[in-house]
Amino acid sequence: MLPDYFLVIIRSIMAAFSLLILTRALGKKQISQLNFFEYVLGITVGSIAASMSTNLANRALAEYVGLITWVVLVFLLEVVAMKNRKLAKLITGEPIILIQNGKIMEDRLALARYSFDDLIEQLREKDVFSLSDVEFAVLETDGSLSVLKKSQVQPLTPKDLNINTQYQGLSIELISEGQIIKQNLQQIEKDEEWLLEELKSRGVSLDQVAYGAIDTSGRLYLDLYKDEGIKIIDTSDYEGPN
Amino acid sequence: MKKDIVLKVLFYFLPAAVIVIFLVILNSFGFIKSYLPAGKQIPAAIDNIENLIIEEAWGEALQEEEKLQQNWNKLVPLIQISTTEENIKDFTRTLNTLEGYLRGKEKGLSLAEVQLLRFSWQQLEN
Repeated sequence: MLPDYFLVIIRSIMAAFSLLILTRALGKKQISQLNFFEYVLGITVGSIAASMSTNLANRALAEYVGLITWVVLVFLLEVVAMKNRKLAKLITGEPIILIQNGKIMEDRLALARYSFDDLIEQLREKDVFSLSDVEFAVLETDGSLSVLKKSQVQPLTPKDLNINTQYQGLSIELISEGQIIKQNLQQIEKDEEWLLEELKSRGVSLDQVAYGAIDTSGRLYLDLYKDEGIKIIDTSDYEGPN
Repeated sequence: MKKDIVLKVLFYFLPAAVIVIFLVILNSFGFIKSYLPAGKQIPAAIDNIENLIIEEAWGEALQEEEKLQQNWNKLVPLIQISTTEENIKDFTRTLNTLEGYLRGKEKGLSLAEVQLLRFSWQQLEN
């Protein structure tokens, strides 16, 4: 007879790999993007996996099937929510306007079971310290609060001043830990020779570069392993390991 | 094109295959019961013991029970992943009780334990 711990190891490996596969299949939603239902589903799936891994009194197959069923159910609900707007509203709920034209909607607060304290706290988290600055506040289905400030207190943008700005896209990583990322070089239609020439013109070799990226205006950013001329600031307030 | 197919296999087929393999492993008792010699011999041995008890051939019944015990001990590590600890203990307990009744030449009690053994064998799958 195999010892219990050995069975726990096997069942844990199965549960961990299955969770990894199944959660990857579910997509890349962050915890902050989950609505309450999805959050509870996540906890349920996690506890089934934990039970499968250590509860030898239950048949692992039953728990494994349960795990798959829950994940498939979440997946199906997500697909349905994507295809059908009405069902999506039913499954995920709807955003609720808590402040409209600067006025707090008390009946909506009650509907969302939201107290004034909750509202004020979430406004503070959005850097709003005065209710008079708020034009609209919407409680999203994931429980976060979206705030539209009154136009008088919104930050000035180049558009307000009619200033033209250059296009700014994503930087592309070309070197990581001294290794050239060839795929990205091809993407920007450059070759290794060009990159090595650029490095040479800056007086550095490839093995000295920890990170290198090019931005949309063609500027090459390089970070070297050796941070010369920089004294590292110690933020610790005690003498010991951080 | 070829690279795309390889990537698709890696990203879709491989994870799905892993899930299916795990399902098969966790449900392997059915296979062991039907195809593995140690698994196939157990129901036959139970029937045999029952007949020997009815004929009151206690010595042979004990020998058959010992063989069943050895078979069972070989089988346990293979089925542990696909059944519960409690089911395995039930079968082992019944087998040991049966041995005691066979030694005591208790016909009625032995037959009852054989019946329980049969039930425990079926329960291993649940």
